[in-house]
Amino acid sequence: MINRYINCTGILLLVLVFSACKKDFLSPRQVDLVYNEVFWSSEKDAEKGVLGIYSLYRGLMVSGQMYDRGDVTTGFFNRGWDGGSSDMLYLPGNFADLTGTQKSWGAMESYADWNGYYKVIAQANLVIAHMQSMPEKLFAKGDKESLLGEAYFLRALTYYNIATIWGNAPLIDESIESSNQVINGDKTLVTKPRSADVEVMDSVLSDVHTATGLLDYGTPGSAAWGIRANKGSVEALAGAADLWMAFLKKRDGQPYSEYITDAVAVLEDVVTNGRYSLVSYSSVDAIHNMYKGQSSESVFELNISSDQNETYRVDNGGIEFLTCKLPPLDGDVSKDRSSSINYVPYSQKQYIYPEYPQDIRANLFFDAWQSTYNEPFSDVSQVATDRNLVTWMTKFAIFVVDPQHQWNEYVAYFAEANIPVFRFTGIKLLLAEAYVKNNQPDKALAIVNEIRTRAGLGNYAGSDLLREVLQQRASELIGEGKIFFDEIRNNYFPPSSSMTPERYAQKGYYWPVSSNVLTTNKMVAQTPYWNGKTTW
Amino acid sequence: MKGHFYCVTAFFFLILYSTSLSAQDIPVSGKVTDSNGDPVIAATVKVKGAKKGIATNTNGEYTLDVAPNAILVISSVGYATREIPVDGKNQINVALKTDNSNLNEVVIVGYKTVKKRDVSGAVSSIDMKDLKDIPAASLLSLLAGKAPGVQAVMRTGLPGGSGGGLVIRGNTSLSDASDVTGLSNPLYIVDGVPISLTDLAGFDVTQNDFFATLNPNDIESIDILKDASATAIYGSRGANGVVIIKTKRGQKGATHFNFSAVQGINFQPPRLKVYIGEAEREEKLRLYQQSLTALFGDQAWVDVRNGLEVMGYMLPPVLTDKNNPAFNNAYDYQDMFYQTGLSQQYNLDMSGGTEKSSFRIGMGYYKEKGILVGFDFSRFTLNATQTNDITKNIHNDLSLRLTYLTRQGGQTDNLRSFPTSPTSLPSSLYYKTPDELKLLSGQLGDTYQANKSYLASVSDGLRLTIAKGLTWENQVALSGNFGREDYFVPSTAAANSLSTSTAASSGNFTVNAHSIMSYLHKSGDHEFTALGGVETNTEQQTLLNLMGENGPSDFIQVVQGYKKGDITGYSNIIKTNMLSYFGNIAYGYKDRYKIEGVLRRDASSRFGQNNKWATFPSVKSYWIFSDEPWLNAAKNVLSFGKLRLSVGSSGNIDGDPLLQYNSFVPTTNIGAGINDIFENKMDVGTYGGQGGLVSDFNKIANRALSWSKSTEINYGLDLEFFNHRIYVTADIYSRYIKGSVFTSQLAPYMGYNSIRSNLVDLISNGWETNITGYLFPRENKFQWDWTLNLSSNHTVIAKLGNGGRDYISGNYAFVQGMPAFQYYTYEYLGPLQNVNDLPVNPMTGQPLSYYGADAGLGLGQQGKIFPGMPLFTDVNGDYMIDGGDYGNDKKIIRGKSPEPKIMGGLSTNIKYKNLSLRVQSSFAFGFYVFNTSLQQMLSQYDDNILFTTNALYDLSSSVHFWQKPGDKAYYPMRYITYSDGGSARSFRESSMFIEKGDYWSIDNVTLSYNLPQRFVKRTGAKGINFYSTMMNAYMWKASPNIPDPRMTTKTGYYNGQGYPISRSMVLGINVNF
Repeated sequence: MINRYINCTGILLLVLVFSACKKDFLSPRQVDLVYNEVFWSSEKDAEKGVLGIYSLYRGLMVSGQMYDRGDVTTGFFNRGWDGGSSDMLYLPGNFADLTGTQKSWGAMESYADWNGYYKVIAQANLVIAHMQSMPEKLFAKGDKESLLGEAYFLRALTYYNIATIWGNAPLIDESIESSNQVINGDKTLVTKPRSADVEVMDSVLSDVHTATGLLDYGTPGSAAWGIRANKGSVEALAGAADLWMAFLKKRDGQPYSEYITDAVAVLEDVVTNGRYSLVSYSSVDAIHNMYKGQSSESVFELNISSDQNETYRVDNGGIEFLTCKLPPLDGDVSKDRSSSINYVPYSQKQYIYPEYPQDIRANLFFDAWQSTYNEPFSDVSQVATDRNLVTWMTKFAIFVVDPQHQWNEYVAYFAEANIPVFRFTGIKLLLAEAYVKNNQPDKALAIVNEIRTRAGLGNYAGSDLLREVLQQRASELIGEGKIFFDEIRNNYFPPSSSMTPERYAQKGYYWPVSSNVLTTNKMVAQTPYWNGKTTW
Repeated sequence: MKGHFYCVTAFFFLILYSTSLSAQDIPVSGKVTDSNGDPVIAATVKVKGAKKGIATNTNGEYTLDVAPNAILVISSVGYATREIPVDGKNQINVALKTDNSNLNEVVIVGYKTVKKRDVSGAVSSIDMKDLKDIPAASLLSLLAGKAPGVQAVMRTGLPGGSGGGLVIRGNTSLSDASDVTGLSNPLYIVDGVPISLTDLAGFDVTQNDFFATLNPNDIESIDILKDASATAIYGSRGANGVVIIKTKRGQKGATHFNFSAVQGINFQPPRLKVYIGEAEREEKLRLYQQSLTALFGDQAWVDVRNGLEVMGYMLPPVLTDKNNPAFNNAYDYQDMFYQTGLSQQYNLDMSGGTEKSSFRIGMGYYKEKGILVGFDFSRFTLNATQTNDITKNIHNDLSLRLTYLTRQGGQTDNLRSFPTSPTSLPSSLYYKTPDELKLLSGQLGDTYQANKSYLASVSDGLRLTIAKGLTWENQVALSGNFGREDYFVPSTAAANSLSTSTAASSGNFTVNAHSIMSYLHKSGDHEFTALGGVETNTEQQTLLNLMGENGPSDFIQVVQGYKKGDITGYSNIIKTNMLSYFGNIAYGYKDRYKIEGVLRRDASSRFGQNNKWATFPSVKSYWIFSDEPWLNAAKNVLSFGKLRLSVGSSGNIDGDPLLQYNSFVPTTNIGAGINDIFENKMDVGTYGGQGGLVSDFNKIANRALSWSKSTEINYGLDLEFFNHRIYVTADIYSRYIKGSVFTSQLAPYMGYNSIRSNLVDLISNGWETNITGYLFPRENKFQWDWTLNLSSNHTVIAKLGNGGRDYISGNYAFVQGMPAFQYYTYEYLGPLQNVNDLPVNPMTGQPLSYYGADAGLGLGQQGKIFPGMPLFTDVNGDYMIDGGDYGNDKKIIRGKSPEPKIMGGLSTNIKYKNLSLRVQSSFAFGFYVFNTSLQQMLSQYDDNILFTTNALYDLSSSVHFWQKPGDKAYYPMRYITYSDGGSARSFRESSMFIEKGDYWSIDNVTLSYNLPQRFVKRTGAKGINFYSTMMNAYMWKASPNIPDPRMTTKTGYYNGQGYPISRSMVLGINVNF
């Protein structure tokens, strides 16, 4: 009897001790989450991580903020009275007037917060760090290189955005995975100051250099074409970064010509070997096909597709919401939303298409270009047919009806246009800019004339070739988030812009940083131009 | 444990007996009984000066051969020892009296049972005898004010619903949650099963109250270990104290039955006074007149009354239309919510046993019909224990506890019980359609919400005596807590006319096992004990949740027949394990000096690879100075005196078990960002058609996360005067908590939003004392005793891992050197008396004004501060006070913490013969409550739409508003705004509403009568007792406007939306047979 009990107890305890001594007793496998310790064990995991970077970057860009930062700031657009993006973006020179209001720049301040960009950076850093230590044998041949290349490209692209928007910014390239990287021994949050814009752009160039060696050119028509980075995408970014670097170095009185020659080399490479070709501007359909995505001009764009469930309701935000008139589902034109969209007033049209009506792009990229209205409300009569005569951008007006829409929703659409990052036309014109700066005007002129011809214009006969390149970029790339940055890089602002030489000299082309950034990171100082001009 | 003691002594004396017969002795036999005449089993009968002795059998009988002139010494635990000369008698019956000294009571501390006399840490025991008959849904409500330093936090009166818990020596939780996760919950050990309320609450879908699962009638003792030296043996889970609950064990002997039945009613709480019908119209009109004339002169009011639009103002038609039938036929909404509640409780238990084993089975049923419509609570409990002496060296202790608890009614949030806030009821003047009325009452009555908890817990302890002084004790405990929530809102009770149904279940399974070897050696004056043990704890939490919207019919109240797209669901499993080693060595000398050392090493799977293990040491000692020979002369005054000193450390684990992991989430939720464009209506889980994963940026993994460690030093003093007449216990302590887990926001360049880390250090200093005095000698027929316990705890933030900067979140702030949760709001300075009192901006020459207030817009006097309007501190110095809730002029209101400075309880018992009266009260002083109730009622004056559409409360008895210059009123004038909108927002949240929370509550008054034996005997029972209890009999409050200062949120805001704590009255009968 006694023995039996002792035996039973003994056995029970042995079981306990053994189970407790098992290695995973103190590290049990958690089944409700996926974490670093178990992840990163196959090519599929690595790819999921890389796709996560794409998703984050697309999530950042889907709100149409590159349009706001790169197009609206030029002064070409006006804002409908009850919609569109932040009011003050349309008055780029008048930010200072906002000091009268307490604390609330509202949406403007959210544009000054770089948190979303650094989320992409954090994801890219994590993917790069873990993939580097994954054994080659887990991957099909070449896949590790190409996935790594994509991660490097996305990190470079994001830093390129940060450097061109804010200039100086903290530079992080380590994977932040543990508390001791963010809290020091004194229980204080680790903070990091802003690195100079030149250093940030240097890191972009270093990453694109790495990525170039890891990637191949894409195959037109493949599933990944255009929407996943390839060597062409990387070289396009490299060219843009080189030209931006040249601008920074020149501004700082440093030698810069090497960046121009680098830009020429890398852009020539992508134009020659990238398997891209210009889309023919034969009809509005051809234009829509191009912006729908994965065309022969797709150097890099972010995937939006209702077939793949990767889209968003346009009535709630995004570039369609900002720029497109949404035809009412019931055909009742009195319900149109022309009042809420951004439109181009008559007075600004000359800066976009100075050679209208010869320039066919005006009517391919815009509707009702011939409209002479400056204000959709004071000028346009309340008659519905007149209200149609507001000049609005049709580039991205590609949508499908939400099949789940409620009976009373009359503009329930999902977006179908990819978000363009690099388009072949833009890359060619970038090469033209590099040629001009590299004293190769003949080659630049050839590109300009090719673009002009497609637009229904004759060869360029003027004398300011750089200005013509920029004009062609504006005419082509309007709405694609590039123009304001072109203007900064070349210190050329059309009359529609409110940039002043004083502001430019004080680097007032950079955005302020938000109070969210300033209060949580005391090492970060406000962009000097904005000191005293914001209320945070 | 008691049972074990009996049997060991019994065996001991049996052996002696069998070897010590001698020829000249005479046989003596007899019966040992208690004061009721019941046999005392296993009492020791021995001969004075000899080793001879025997234990009584199950009938209390003994037989012994002794010398005719011997003296018998009869003793038993819990009774005073008696000495009786034999004088040649053969039959000696002995009646033992209950021992009045509490020093011999046993206390469970750190895996062993010791006598109170032998305790060296700060330990309080709650006497369950006083509490067992009081019917209450939750044990928690009985524990208020019962032990010094132990606070029973009750945030709601919701029967069976959680929201509170015990807090020992101050709440050190830095969470602002108002449920159990916002408390520094002690570790609960019920019959050896450790229970973490935070873990229980983690996945629990029912929000049922843990304390409601315990039937007070089944509980033998509650021992509360308070200081770190006492809790160190529980290591990483002991820092918030340990509460050891032991259920009753059987008494050996003939089977006893005890039956009790209680019936009672719960009274409706006092209603808020509301103007109804014509009275409302007249009062509202009067207020309009008052504010218009005060600001713009008499003519303005005359013009408005004539229906002219003066200065852009106009009266709302509902007030001017005198013929509105609603005036005479108005609604009293409070009538729709309240009802008189009923409660009933039945308990039956039986206990008995043989010499070798004993058992007890307790069964209980409790039911309460709530004082709010639709609320219900019931509980079934079954508690069974069996102790067995298998052989003289093997002892087994089995305990089983089953509880079924169901709670009905209300909404999914425990702290919100009303469908509309009682402080913003609709105006009585508007006609409501039957459907609208039904919607309002239906949200209470027709909503089906059943929260069921099924709890099963088994523990078995096997103790083996291997050699003299060496015992090996093993215990395995399994406990399962299943929760089930069914929630159905019929389409008629839903604002959008869509029915919703939720079915959720959760489970928390714990397997705990420990094995302890202990050794006791005593020789001469020296006593040496050692204990070593190992413990493992595995815990699994599971969750299943299913929700449907737009069901097929209101008659189908489960998720069935819903369209595919209308159903969502998810499940979850989390596992955590712990492994611990612990040891305890003690040395005692002459029974009055003792020093004890404890060491525990704990490992938890919740922490990262290098931080799994931690060590918690402690040292404690005592000195019973009253036993020193040089104090012998004082024995008559100072019967007992003990000094205690202890130092120790223990730990606390953060509630989130997965903090060490850097996890990934599908892009569906955050990654694609496309969902940021709200109402996207599409789950974006892919990029280019392929699924991706992104980091969960909400938190960063913390592999360096560890226990917060608290180190505590405690000085204690236990005194007893005049031989069991006055007891005093006092403790003073200082505690440093290092590395409390706290969330800090990260710099945006990190990508990650926040981190939970061991960031905050806290320091607690305090004292507590308990004084019990018996006014009359303990043998008197008339007895009157008083017990007072007092405690004071001051916890401040010693270090804030925020670079020392204040941390401000919403409406509270953490400041280094101050208690956590300082109010952060506008500071109210009083009403303006004279315009000339306003400070003038030297830059502009403009007087102080309201920023963003459009009061006086029509007059071009926007933002102007008129006499009678409130002044708030202009924190940012821009000569503008926020007109709305912009946050520019909020400040930390220092020195007004929601944590009480002093709290405790006072209770008294008066007993004469068969009649006794017991009064128990609890109190707390020196804390502040934000009177949200009043603020919500007053804020309606700030909004002309709410003023018209909401009820008007009659506050004339307690709230005085400024009316004319010179008024000493605390509250500013009521300025009723007109159609042009905004005002100064006089009654916004501000320090105007921070009021003293001090209270003294008479928690229960019980009058009890034992039927005299001569009547009892006729019924065949052994004892009959009648009693009547009034719960929450009376409360004194410092603030007349706060209905119940106990019902606050964690941050100190009065919770007027919560279920009120109500007064109740019960009648009960208790029969022993």
